[in-house]
Amino acid sequence: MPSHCPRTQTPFSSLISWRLVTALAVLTWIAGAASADATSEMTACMKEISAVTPTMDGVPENIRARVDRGVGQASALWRFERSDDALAKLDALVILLDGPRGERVQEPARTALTKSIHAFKRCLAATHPAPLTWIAIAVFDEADTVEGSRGKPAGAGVYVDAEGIPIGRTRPDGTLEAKLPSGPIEVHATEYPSSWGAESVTLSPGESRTISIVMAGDKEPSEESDLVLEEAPDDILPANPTSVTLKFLRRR
Amino acid sequence: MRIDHIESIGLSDVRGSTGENLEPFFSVTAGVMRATDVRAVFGLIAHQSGSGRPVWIMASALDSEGRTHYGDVQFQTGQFKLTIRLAAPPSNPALPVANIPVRVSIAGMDIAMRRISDASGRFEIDPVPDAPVSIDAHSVASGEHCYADATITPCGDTSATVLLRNLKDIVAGIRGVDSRTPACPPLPRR
Repeated sequence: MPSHCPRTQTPFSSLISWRLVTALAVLTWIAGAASADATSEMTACMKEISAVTPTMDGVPENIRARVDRGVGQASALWRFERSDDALAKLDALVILLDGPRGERVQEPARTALTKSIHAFKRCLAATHPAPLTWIAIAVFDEADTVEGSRGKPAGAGVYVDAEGIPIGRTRPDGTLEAKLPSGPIEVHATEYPSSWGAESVTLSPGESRTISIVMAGDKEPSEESDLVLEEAPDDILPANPTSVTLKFLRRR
Repeated sequence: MRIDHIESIGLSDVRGSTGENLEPFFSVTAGVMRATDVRAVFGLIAHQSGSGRPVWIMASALDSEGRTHYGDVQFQTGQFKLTIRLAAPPSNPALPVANIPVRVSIAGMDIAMRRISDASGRFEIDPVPDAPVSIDAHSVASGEHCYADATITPCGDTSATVLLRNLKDIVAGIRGVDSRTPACPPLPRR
């Protein structure tokens, strides 16, 4: 699930476990491309991430979505060699499950889920991701003539994310250089409020190449974020509240 | 994150569907979205949530860096105070009822919370929605396992005594709960 996408194409039900499946696919690719030792480490991580999915059975949908997002973000941060951030993300999930919100998960499921997140964390801490590689990204507006064809360079200030991790904004010529993880990766370009494009590529370590992204101008790009109703910490809003406050929480 | 501009705020009893437009009743203050007409907002929420029905608020807004965010939050409205007292069963009147962890869950929604009984076995939940509330607890004394397992539907501020029963009590047909609650309306509940 891209962090930026047209809202109308984001059914909530399809989000569950999408990131877990993606993370598993990425680890599979990395295991195939790595040395024998690394392959064995990766195989262990794949086993742990596979274990997270079945333990999601019986977990309320909103907690499942939080865990799914958190695991996906941790996997992406780890691939960007931001292991500390990845492990902190998994710690935050464990704190969530240990806290008041975790109490809505029945005890056997909560214990199993917490255990599998801990195992995944240990695995990421002990494993090295495939090396990063410098990539040039060129962003274009869509041509007026043929749908999806390349038009003019997009210009400055377009947000570029890879696997949901912000990597920077384009220069006036619509380009950006960034270090990206090897393996399959999805890169998104977003110019608010209405332009969005994405490109999926598989990068090899040390490879030098340019990724071109064409942004369609008829989208409504938006980033899925956790929304909190401050007056309802247990998800119960008292009758006749004195205030009603909505907050978006920062994800990374 | 700091919000600069609200794009939309909607209220619905179905996730993802367009419902009541709450956006005119909110503004951005100090980077968060606050209701400017709290009474109107709560009126719409209460109308939508009816009798204990969970509702969703869906919002979309621009942050201070120019990014658009969307998200939703599910909740229920709570109207009543529920006071529970755990009590020892007839088969074991000396069973301690203090400091027992209790799991409280609300039917029809993924809401659950934990409470600990006080020295007299009491605990409170305030507010609770107009929906069935399940109480679960477990205690072991002298190797004997006792369970509290009760569902209470509050239609007003409610007090209830919930027995920690063992197998002998259940076989003897001892009721698990004795509640004092205002009569529920006879109309069908949504």
